[in-house]
Parts: sequence; structure tokens; C-alpha cells
Amino acid sequence: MSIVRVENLTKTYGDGQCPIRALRGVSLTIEAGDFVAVMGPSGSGKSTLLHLIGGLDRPTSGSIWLGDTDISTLGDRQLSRLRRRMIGFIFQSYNLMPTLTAQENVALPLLLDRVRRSSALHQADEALALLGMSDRLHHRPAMLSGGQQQRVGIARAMIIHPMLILGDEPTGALDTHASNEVVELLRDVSAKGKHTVILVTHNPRVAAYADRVIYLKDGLIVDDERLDRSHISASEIHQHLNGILAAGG
Amino acid sequence: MSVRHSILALLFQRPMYGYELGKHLAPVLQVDRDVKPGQIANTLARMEEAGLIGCRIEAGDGPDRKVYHLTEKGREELKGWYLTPEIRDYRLGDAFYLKLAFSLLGGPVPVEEILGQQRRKLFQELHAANEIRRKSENQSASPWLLLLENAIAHLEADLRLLDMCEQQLDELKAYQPPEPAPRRRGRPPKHPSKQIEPEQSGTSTLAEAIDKLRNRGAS
Repeated sequence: MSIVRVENLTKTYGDGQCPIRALRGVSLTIEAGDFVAVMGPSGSGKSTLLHLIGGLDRPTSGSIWLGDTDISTLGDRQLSRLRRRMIGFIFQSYNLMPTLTAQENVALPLLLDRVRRSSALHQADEALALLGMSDRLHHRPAMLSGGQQQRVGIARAMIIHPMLILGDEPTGALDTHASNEVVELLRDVSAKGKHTVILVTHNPRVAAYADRVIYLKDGLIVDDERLDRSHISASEIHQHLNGILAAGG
Repeated sequence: MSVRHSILALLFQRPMYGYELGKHLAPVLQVDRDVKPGQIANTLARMEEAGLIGCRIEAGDGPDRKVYHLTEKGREELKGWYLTPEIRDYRLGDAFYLKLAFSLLGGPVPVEEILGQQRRKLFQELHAANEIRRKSENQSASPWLLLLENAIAHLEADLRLLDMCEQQLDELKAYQPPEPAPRRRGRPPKHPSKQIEPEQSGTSTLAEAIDKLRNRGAS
């Protein structure tokens, strides 16, 4: 089943003298349960695409279907309700509330949707436990490392059981070790919950965790590659690295 | 890989006979394949000739066997090898560099397609490497895991290079390589001052490597 269907999407910023054509006709379909990375040089339109799919911005032309809803036809209130209920966002700068604890930050989307406080906090505990953060429930963001803050960000995105999780450079502020950890967690948790994930990243290592890499350039998709996980075995990589023995000296 | 130095390194631990050496290489390097006995024997013979190792005949249960040990010269050689820094080769051996440089002149397939093919393959490889890294997460630290990290870092760097190519593609396409210098007439100068240096096995610094690259481009 397709979760996202984008047809002939264009987005032009500014007008008159020198309009910037961020997207110039993008079509794609994303299946339920996919883990997709969107890559491309800066200015290629990847963030614009993510924002349009997430309903944070409106296209100049074309349509965006989330499930069976064409979100380009929705009014502002309907759109923000759909965002709140169906889409989990993960940001580069985490966007956590500094005065709330990890647990409260994660519970926030539920509280805003008028879920009972005790139930919301309980669900937050469970989400944080999945991300290995049970011992940090009552810490405020400032007391957490970058990697831990982003785990809170992921838990917050997941707590509404969204049909779609969108990440805009979610590892952009993290060092290599923390970013590996965060992507691996995100992938594990999303696989368990059968979530569909779209990440925008300029980091090839992060993108290579995905099942599919979409490469944008100048507002168009130039590459769309499915990464095959099935054939991988430890011995195969061993063989790769075994090349060092083959070259005799 | 330098079988010669691997043997020196093993013999530094203790004297061993040929079969033993072969059996020890694979586990140290964490590979699942042995170096061929023939290759070990050949290398041992050459090393003995060069005075790097000596050997003693030892009678055992079966036929006599040659037990090899490190000589003083071998020890020095090993020390020198350990202390020689290893710098990756940035020179023209890089096959992708050749494809990029020539395809920009015009070719049977567009540059974009070459970049695309390269990128797809690199992503597959990096994906595989990430996956292995995940699977080996619980293993304790080992040189092999660091080699894997190294492979990942290189794949990543190669992908970043492709990104740069994409970003600068219009300028790259406009790049005109300089015309080859016209052939000199008359007698060649007595001192062939600027000849291409013969390839050396190690380039000591990145700056030097880049310098060499430039010189080659100019000559």
C-alpha cells in the first residue's frame, strides 16, 4: 500500500524578477513500512520536498496524497490536525521544550490532543524505554547529550503512532558515533512499529541505512535506488576485506 | 598485503616453521582464508637469501623441519616497516578519476550516468558495510572492526566526492584541459631537468602527493 504519493510537484519561491524553482516536477510513491533517505547537494530541493509532504508548506502545483487524502486541497485547520495526528517530525535541532522533562516533552503531542495526563505520561515512558532512555525520564533537555536529546525527539515523533515519520537532517548536529546510534535506533524502532520513515540528509553514511535512496538535483529526482539488504552476510564483507590477503607481496 | 612483513612480525614473537606461519596469519588478520603455502615458502626462501631470517633444522616426530628465526637485519627491517607511515595513494591510479576526466571531454555515455552508476554501487556497498557493522556491534574491539570502520569512512568520502561532482558539474563540463605543449625543435637540452619522476612506493605527505599530481598534469 502506498503511504505517500506525490505527483508532478513543483514549488517556486519568490516571484517576478528571479523566482527560485526549488522543485520542478517531482513524482514518487512511498510504500508503507519503507525507510527512505532523500539526498542531494544543498539547494537540490530535498528539504522543500520534505516540508511539502509534511504539510508544513504548500506546493505551487501538483498533488500530495497521504494515504487517501490529497493534502493540497485541505484547509489550514484540517492540515494542522492531520499533521498533529498522522505525522511525526524529527528536527536537526531537536526542538524540545527546554523547561519540560524528557517524559513531558514526549507526552506533549498527546497532551495537546487532550489525552489524560497520566495516560500520556505512561505512554511517554514506554516510548522512551524503547529508545533506551528509561533512566533519563525526568531530565531536562539541557542535561542530556545531543544523541539523547534526539532520542527524545524520536520518541516524541513516535508517540502518536504516526502513519509517517519525517526527519529533516536528524543527525545533522551529532558526531559520527551518536549519529550512527540515532539512525540505527530509528531504524530498529520504526521497523518494529512498522512505521514509514523519510529522512532528508546530506550524510551518505546516514542515507545508506535506508532501504531506498532518492537523489535530488536542481529540483528533480535524478536517482532512485533500492538498497538490497537480503544478500548481506558477514562472510561477504569478510570477503571484501579479504582483498588484503589476495594481493600478495 | 606484505607477506614478507607479516612473516617478520610473526617471527618476532617466536621462531616458527613454515606451516605454522601460514596457520597464524589468518587468525591475526581475522580473515577466513589462509595464505597459500607455496607463497609462504617462496617468500621464506627469498627472505633467507636476503639475510632477514635464518633457519635451523629441527628433528621432530615426522620429517625434519626448518624452524625460522629473525636475524638482526630482519629485526631492523621490521622496525623500519613499523615506523614508516602509510599514506594512501592519491595519484592517477584511481580509476574513477580517469573516467571522470575523460568523460568530461565527451563520450558514449553522459557524465551524469557515470556518476549515477558509481553512486548506486557505493550506496549498496555502504549499506552492506553498515549492516555488518551493526551485526558486529557486540564484538569486542579488534583491528578487523577498525578496518571495517575505515572501509565505511572511505565509502562515505567517495560518496561525498560524487556530491561535489554533481554540484560542480556545469563548471566541470566547461573546463578545458590545456593544449599539450608543442614538440620542441632542435636538440634536446643537455640536462633533462624536469623528467617525470619514477613512481615511488610511498608518498610521504598529502601535499607532496598533490604536488606530484600537479606536476604530472603540467608535463
